Amino acid sequence: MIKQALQHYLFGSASCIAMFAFLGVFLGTLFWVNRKDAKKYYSYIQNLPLDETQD
Amino acid sequence: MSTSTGVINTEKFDHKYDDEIVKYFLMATIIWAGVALLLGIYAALELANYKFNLGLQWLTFGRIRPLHTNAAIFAFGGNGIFAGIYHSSQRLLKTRLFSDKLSWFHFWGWQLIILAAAITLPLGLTQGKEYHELEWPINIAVAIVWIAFGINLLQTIRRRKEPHIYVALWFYIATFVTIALLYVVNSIEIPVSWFNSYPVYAGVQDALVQWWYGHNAVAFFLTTPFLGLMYYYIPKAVNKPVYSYRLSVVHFWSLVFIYIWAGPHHLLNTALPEWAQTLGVIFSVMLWIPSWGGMINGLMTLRGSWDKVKTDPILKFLATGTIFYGMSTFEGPLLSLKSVNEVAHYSDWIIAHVHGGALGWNGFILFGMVYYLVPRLWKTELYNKSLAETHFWLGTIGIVIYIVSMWTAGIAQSMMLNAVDATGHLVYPDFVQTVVRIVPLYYVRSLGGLMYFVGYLLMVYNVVKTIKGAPVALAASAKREEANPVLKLDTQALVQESISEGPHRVLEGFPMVMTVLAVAAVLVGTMIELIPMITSTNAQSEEFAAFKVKPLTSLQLAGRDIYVREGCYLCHSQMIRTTVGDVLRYGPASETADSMYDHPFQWGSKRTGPDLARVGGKYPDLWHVRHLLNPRDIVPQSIMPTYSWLLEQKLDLGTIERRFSVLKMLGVPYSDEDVKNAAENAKKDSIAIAEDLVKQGGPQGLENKEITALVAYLQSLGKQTEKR
Ligand code: HEC
Repeated sequence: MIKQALQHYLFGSASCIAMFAFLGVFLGTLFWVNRKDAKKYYSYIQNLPLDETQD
Repeated sequence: MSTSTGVINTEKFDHKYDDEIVKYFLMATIIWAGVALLLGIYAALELANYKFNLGLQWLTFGRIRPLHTNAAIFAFGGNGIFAGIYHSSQRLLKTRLFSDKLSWFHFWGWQLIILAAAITLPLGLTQGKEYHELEWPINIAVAIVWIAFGINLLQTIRRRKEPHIYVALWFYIATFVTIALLYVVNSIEIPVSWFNSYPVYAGVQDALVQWWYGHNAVAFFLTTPFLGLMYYYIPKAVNKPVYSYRLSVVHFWSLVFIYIWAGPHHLLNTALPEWAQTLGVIFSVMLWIPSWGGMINGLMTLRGSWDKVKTDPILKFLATGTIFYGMSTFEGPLLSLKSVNEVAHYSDWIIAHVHGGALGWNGFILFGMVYYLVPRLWKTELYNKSLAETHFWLGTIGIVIYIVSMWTAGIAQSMMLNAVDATGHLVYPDFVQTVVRIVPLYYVRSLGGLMYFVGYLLMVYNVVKTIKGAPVALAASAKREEANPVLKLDTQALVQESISEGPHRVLEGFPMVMTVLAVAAVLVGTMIELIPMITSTNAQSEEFAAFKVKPLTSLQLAGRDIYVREGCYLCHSQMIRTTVGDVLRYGPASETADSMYDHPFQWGSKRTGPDLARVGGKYPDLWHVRHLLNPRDIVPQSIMPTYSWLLEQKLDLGTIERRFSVLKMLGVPYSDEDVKNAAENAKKDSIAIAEDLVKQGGPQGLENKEITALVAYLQSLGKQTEKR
């Protein structure tokens, strides 16, 4: 049963499922990085490599 | 842990960074780079003229090529990323590496593994899967050392004094977990003896697992860690934050999610089921976007500082490396289109593609890192800036010569191989007609490699002089100073406190959450591709039910193991694609069933010589013997190496029963009788072939010699499968 389902359903639509999964991840991340409070966080964290105490 | 609240516990702060380990990894990077490059030039020359192997079996192309790729990827690339990861992580996390013992175990363990590879590969001890050649005891060692690295990295992150985790570290975490997953899954094999094993997967399954591994080794060993390095060292070198941190987050998740699916683009137009090929194509094309997002992010960080790029060799290497990343990741999706792939696959075009990545992207990022780190770690100035400048130009011109010559060779040869005249016949029916046309380009390619190598030598000289020139007293005081960097803790704590709560902190600031999410991202693609493949292509499946496939006899199997040992698969494919050119030249396209008992699969990835999937019966035995003894006796312009030792070495049947029983366990339909009589049968068959050879006018005394097994195997190719 499962095998048949895999063969007849999944194979044909694997690309579709995959595309939607990716869209989910992509849009999710996009939404996430543009949240209201993101700016402060990112403007701090992007300067981490430049911290002079590191070298 | 203090970090979770954002309040920094100053008392606990451990100021000392471990830069000793960074120096060691950096030196190892430099040394192995030389070895990898030399081996590359040597392999290139061997293709231009077979005589470069000096007639020694340990130096033939089939054994040197894996050594070259392993040295370049795991020795040069590996040591380089470890140096960069250990250096940047300590600084980004403001803490010393978790455990000195683990660090040193990691370092020496890795060097020992490289040494083991350098010994076993020329001896022909190989699994016969590209970039996964090392045999099972070494696989276990790799897994242990890799886990030591992972623990060291994750524990360092856990004990950080900086509450936030910079994006470079995400790339490092993804590297660790994904490589662990890939390596373990592709290493599932059953040992036959100490240095011999068979993978549990066969044929199409093995092909898919192998290229899921192979492609993602490029993704997670040669891309994600290097992107982490890019996100750290470019901002450092230009003293500006990354262009867009938001973009880096999107870049990371898209890349990690998409990359894992793209493996099947190594198997286009083959017997791999269509749905899997389609997935591979779609995701490869999509991969272009996040890759370029990353490249643009790296390059835009340099905005307003391009004048610095002109004068600073570090930036030159980092920027050009990033541009090469952009080039390779543009070319990659292009090569994944089926029609382009028809031309490019199996040809030198692919060799051009990987060297754009390896020499341009990986090499240049690491060289930039070396020029950045050496003066800083030894607290001095670079000995000679213009020497570094010369290195850069030699390297760049070398790469261009390399790429252009291999593009030309690849496209020219494929066009010739696929050329059909008005009557529907091949214009160049003899494979060797296409070979002679590109041999001059093999010399040009070697020249490109040589230039790159000379540039590298300038770097070695520069580094040695820099270190020697570091004043001893200063170096000693630097050591003390380095041990106590003064941290501006109070101001930092203030900033952090205000942002250390909140959702971003929760999702982006905890290594465990990150690790779990990254694993989830790569598992989606892995499961959707591998599981249906494994359930749909087993012996009971429809695919195979239409065929009757004879398993190899014991002598043929022994011959197959010799074929793997000699690395014949590095020049010959065993996969007739569904393309017109392939079918006209080699016969009906290969069926999935043809390789259903092949542990490992031998579809190959490069045709320096013709496909062998249906070579069985094409020539008499004596032809093969004479051809292997000296291919030029039969095909005067051949560039195939001689294999004279096969006529001298005695066939080793010591483990043949065990080999049979392992394969039986893995599902190859051998009876208990077959297993019990494996050695006997092999001897009998070998004697029969030897007698026949004498009758045909061939040399005497070949019974029980390796050549009889190899010939028996070659004659079986394409003859085992019958339609029911
Ligand atoms: C450096 C690349 C290279 C390697 C390694 C190599 N070959 Fe070849 N091989 C060629 C080339 C080129 C040709 C075409 C010219 C010729 O027939 O010699 C060829 C031709 C052949 C042919 C004739 C195919 C035909 O259809 O005419 C056979 C059989 C063959 N090789 C077997 C082997 C075996 C077995 C090994 C390993 C022991 C091997 N080759 C290793 C390059 C290679």
